[in-house]
Amino acid sequence: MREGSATAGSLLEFRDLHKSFGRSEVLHGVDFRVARGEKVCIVGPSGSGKTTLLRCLNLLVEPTRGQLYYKGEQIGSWPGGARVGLSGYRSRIGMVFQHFELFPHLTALQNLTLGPRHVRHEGRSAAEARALQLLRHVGLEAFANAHPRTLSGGQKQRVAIARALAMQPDLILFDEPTSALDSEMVDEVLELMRRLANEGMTMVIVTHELGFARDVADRIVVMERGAVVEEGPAETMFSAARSQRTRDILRVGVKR
Amino acid sequence: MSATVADLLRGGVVTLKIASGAWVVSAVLGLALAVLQDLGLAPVKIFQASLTITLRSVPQLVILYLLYFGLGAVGIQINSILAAILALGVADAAFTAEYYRAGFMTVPWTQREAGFSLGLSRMGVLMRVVVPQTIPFVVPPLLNSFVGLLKTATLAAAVGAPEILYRGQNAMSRTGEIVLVVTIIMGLYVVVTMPLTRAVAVMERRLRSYAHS
Repeated sequence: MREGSATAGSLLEFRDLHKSFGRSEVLHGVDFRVARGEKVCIVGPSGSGKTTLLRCLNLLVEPTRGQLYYKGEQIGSWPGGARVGLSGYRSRIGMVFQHFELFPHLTALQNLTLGPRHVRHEGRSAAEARALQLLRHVGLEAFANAHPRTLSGGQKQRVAIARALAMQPDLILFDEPTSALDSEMVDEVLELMRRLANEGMTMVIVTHELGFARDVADRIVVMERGAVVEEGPAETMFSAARSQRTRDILRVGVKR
Repeated sequence: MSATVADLLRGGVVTLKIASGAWVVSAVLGLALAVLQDLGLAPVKIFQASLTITLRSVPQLVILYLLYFGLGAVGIQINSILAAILALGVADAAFTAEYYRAGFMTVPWTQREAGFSLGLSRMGVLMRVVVPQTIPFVVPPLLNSFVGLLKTATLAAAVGAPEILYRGQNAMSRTGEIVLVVTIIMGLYVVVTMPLTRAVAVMERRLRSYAHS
């Protein structure tokens, strides 16, 4: 790998990512990349740094060290900082949060149109038409004018996924999207994510749902204590992982 | 007697005008100050901090004199009502800004992150995500501040604005009926203020149940 350029074929790539909060370093030089159309699941015990890694990808968390590339272009190099506008960069990358983070003062439909209207400056009627179409896609067209507080957890997360889709992102980051859901609602969200995967969406998913990871992921990244323990294709990771630690994590399931 | 009441009522209208004007100035300027502070731009921060300290420590009457006579001294004549609106509004904004800031703090940081992740700027997140969620929390204190402004509006008498106390003082010296005039003024204040205070109480109760839902 040449210094100062991205790996060919990667959509998003972070090289040598370090992150410290105060004096404690929580990421110790992680290399991460995702190719267009690829589904990557990040698994690992709690405190392993998976969520921090995810949040560094769209720069919700400012990295301490490392180089970030997007479509071959350097987005930033730390220490130093981003060299492009964060707004434009982030608008290309969807994010789905563990606790949904729908905007409570807006209806489901308005949650979907906020980004398109005020970041992409689309007209109201065009944005609303596509938002409705997306709500139909996630099976919630009837709730277009509902406020988030009236929705179930599973419905909220489906609206949140539709909100990410409304920006027509190149990829979507999922931060433990089912961890805050009651068990009976987990499936409706995983089902929707499976559909997105089949439609070819590029997805980076931090998850504890190993069955889902095994089915959907092209590649699994196992993290522990701020570093990548092992990564590889889903099928080999579950059947023939190189390290004992990986086998333990993937067999036992991952404790939060 | 009826002439006195009519005169006091006309004064009351001027008082309402001053208080409403000052309230709008305070609500808008307070929001601007709170937003600037939230954005935390260094030079703005220093300006904003010193302005807030000044506005809080100096009596409103002094600010009113400064605006009315100070501007007059440099050749800018503004009428006494406008001077009162600006002076009382600006002075009150230092406090209003705090209501907004407290309101901003009720919105979890993760809400901002959701806005950032869509590509909204810091300003965009504030105006589209944070401020709208803050409104229900700032309306009751803003209404309270209007009640306060109704009272401080009487300071405008000091620069000759024909508001209720100014006319009341004239009526007192004209008729000598001090107790009567004061009683009428008190009555008018109570009549206007009571429903407002009541409204604030109702809103706060609703807000509590809304926040817990």
